[in-house]
Amino acid sequence: MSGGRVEASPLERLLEVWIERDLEGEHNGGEGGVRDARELAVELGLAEELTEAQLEELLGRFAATRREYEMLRRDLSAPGSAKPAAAASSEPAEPGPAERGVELPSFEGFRTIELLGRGGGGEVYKLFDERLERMVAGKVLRREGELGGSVREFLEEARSLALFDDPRIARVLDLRIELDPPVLVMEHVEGFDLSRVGRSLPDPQLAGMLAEVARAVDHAHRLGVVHGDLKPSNIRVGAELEPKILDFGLATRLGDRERIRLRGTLAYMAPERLVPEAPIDARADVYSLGVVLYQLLCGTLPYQGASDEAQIAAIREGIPRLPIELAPRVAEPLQAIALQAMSREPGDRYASANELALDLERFRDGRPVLARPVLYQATLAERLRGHLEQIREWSRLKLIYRHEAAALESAYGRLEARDEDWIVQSRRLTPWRISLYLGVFVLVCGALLYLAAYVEGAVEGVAAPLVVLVPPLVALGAGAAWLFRRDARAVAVAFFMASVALVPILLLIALRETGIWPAAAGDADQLFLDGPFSNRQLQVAGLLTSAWCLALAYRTRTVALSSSLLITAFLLDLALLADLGLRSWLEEENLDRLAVHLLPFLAIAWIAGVLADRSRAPWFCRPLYVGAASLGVLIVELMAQDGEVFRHLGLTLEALRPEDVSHERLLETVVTMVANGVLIALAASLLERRGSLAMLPAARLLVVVAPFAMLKPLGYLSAVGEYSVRWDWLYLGLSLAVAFWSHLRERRSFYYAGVINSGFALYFLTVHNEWWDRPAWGTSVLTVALLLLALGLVLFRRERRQHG
Amino acid sequence: MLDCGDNPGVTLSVDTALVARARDGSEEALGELLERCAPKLLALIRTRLACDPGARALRARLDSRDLLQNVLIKALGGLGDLQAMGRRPLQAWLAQIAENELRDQVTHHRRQRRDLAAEVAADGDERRRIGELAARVRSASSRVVLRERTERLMAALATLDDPQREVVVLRDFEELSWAEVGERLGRTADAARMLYARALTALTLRLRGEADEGRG
Repeated sequence: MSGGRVEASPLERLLEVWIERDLEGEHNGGEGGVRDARELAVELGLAEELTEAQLEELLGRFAATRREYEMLRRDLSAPGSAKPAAAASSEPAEPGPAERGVELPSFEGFRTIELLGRGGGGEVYKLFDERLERMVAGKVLRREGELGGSVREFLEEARSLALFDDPRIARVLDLRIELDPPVLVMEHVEGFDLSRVGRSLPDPQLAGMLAEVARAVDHAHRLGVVHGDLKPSNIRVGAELEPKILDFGLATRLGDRERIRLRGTLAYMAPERLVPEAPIDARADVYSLGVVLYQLLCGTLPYQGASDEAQIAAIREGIPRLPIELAPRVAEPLQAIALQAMSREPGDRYASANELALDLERFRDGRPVLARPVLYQATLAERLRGHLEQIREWSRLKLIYRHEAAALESAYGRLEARDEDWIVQSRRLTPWRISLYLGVFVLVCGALLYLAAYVEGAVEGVAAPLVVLVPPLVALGAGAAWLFRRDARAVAVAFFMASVALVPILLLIALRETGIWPAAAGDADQLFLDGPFSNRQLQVAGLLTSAWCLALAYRTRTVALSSSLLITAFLLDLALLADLGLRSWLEEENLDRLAVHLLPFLAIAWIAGVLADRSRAPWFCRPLYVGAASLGVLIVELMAQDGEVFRHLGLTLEALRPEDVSHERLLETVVTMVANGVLIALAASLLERRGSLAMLPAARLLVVVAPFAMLKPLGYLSAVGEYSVRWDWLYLGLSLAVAFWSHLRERRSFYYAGVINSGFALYFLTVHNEWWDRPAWGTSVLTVALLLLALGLVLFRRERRQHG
Repeated sequence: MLDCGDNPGVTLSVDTALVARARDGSEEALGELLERCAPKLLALIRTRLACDPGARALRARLDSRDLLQNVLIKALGGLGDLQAMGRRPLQAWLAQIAENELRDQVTHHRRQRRDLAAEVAADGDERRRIGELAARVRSASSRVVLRERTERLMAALATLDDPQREVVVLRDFEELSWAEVGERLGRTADAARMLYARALTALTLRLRGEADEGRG
């Protein structure tokens, strides 16, 4: 073992240490290990021993050797199979029955040459057709009593194979059902496994060939047949690099989905096939082709496991290494195509094998590909986790301040929930984006103006609104759906948003014109007394629009449409509250009742947010959290009006009210406002400390609002002219204090609130004392300003001295 | 998550149930058992027959596949042992049976084919059942194949020196934990892992020397 160690080559030394670390990493559950060969070479001192060119050459050789190592590990963990995969494989079925003294079966009209393989429910022999004098592959139904299928399944397979008319699928020549056992005569395909040829092909040729395979698979799909066991050994490559798909033995008519669920080769199985009850369709084959491409790119399977259970878990939940990490020379577009096809959710994959073929051909022809795999996003999220932990650690060690940690965390959070398609979150403003969203906005305005004209009676009948509103709605909806599939998501999302604005207006007009659910004349509960629309009509329009918006939000998974949903749902809520007397509350300024009735909506939004958060849907939960937080602020502020909350709680501060205060509920109002400020600040800090990452935007909103809410009662007192002079000075003092306090928590919003409110305080002081014509007032303010500047200098010098 | 090598026992109940079902005649279970364990057993037996000085003599009389059949029949007959072994993983248990079978064959030099059914089952009924099982195992184990790459790997493995080959066999074909591998080799677990790293280095370089499949 140590004989050759002295003169070990640099490659050997590098490889050995690399393997040691790799094993150590596995042993420690993924901790440690090396990922960068260059780093390791430097660590071993190889960088000093060798010239730069030699080192480069060494690293190049190492990359290839490392792939060999990875394949070796795979071979060691799964050295063989108990069911030879390829039906018409020409790999010697070692040791064949011939070698073992078992006679080959003979079939009338054929000379049996050799056993090609076993699998897919039967044995496959290479036969010589004596009548037509050609080689064929004969699949023989396995004799009863052994593992295998029935005559019925055999017939089904033969019939589904006979449907195909594609040179890239091994053809059925004949079915000799009268023989015992029956023989399915198929085209004999010379050539090699894709696994043996694929890795040595240049990228464009590989892409072109796989595109052919995908087209053939698509042909089968169109005839309603799913292959179910696509893998390199079932794809044969001929001398002209023409691929041919073998072994439709597992092929299943699309109507009979359950049969394919657990047959086939685990490593290439789509996750939905491993979940009972999950629907399976042709996109399971798209997934398998993605795995084939992945494997050809980097030499390993995406998901591996020591046992079937571990592998199933990896396929269902794991995130594969990027091919580019395993083999640095992998072309990124090909990797993107593979990962797109391998998306865990069928909806995220290519919609058909044909679309996969189109993208592969784009790559072959040197055009940009359309693949934008969601696996990139998942991989990023996975990797961000470590960084976030590190940020928390830095914050714990006091290397960075808490607010810096929060800022970094939210920056990472944005990266994770990145929603490039929406103008609010896109990292780049472009003319087309601006134009699109300006268009959405103007469209909403135009639709509302049209509705106004309709309400005014300027539009007669149902024909005119239909002509004006339906064509844009249909065009936008259909256009968006088409664009969404064609990977123009950004435009599609804007189109969808625009369509959402048109739906309720069209519905309202339709409902009114058809006279469904009209308002009874003089019904006091109607939102619009004798107005154009009844409550029920508004509710139905709101409900349908919200449902439509929810469907779009789930389809596009964007913040944009989730936010639209939040708005339509809020409007629906208001329409529902109309039945409870929304109009009278507004008219009689009973805003507290409105606030109380908004609470259920707040609760629903928050709970939905938490559920979306748990199911990892940041695009959905963020708008819900922010919406719920804004609504919360609105509710508590409405409750503060005239101190109504005290009345609701059955309390009063009348006993404490000074004689000279004429405002009935002044104290109650001010106390509630103070409490609101504290409540909002507490909620913000609770969300920041305990909340999930997705709650951070909502927490930030509350942090911004809190100081304003805290200073509001004083501003209110100052603004209520009667008591002003007494409070103006306190208002100014407290505003300045809040500005100064901002440093304690590193909260910029406190500083801004302090500054803005002190400005208001100065204004109120001037107004209430009528100091407009007093130069002394201006001069004193100037003096205070100079004193503050001087104080700044003093404090700065002191801090300098303290820090040495 | 991927590496369960050092967590034996996690799948014990599943394994025991699998063997029990295979023994009760479930073809699906037998198929799965073969799919999961047989290739490694075959690789283990082949390596022993090729490299072990004692076992080499067997090659004249016995095919690796016959030995594989014997091991599987014994395993299915000796289910009680698996339960008695507690937390032992399935592959390691099967490997132990294979090692015993090889040793028996070498020491006893029995000329005639043994009646395994008689050996593993005492009473008549059970014996007939095992006999039927044996027939199925025979036909099934003839379908076990090693990959072409594995054949190359086996050839390269044969060129390693004894401790390096042994560590690969114990770790990969017998699926022992590092502690067990170390114990069998008279080393610590860490030393065994280092030895394994050297063995894999040698194997990789040899395989690479033979054929360059890489694109880079």
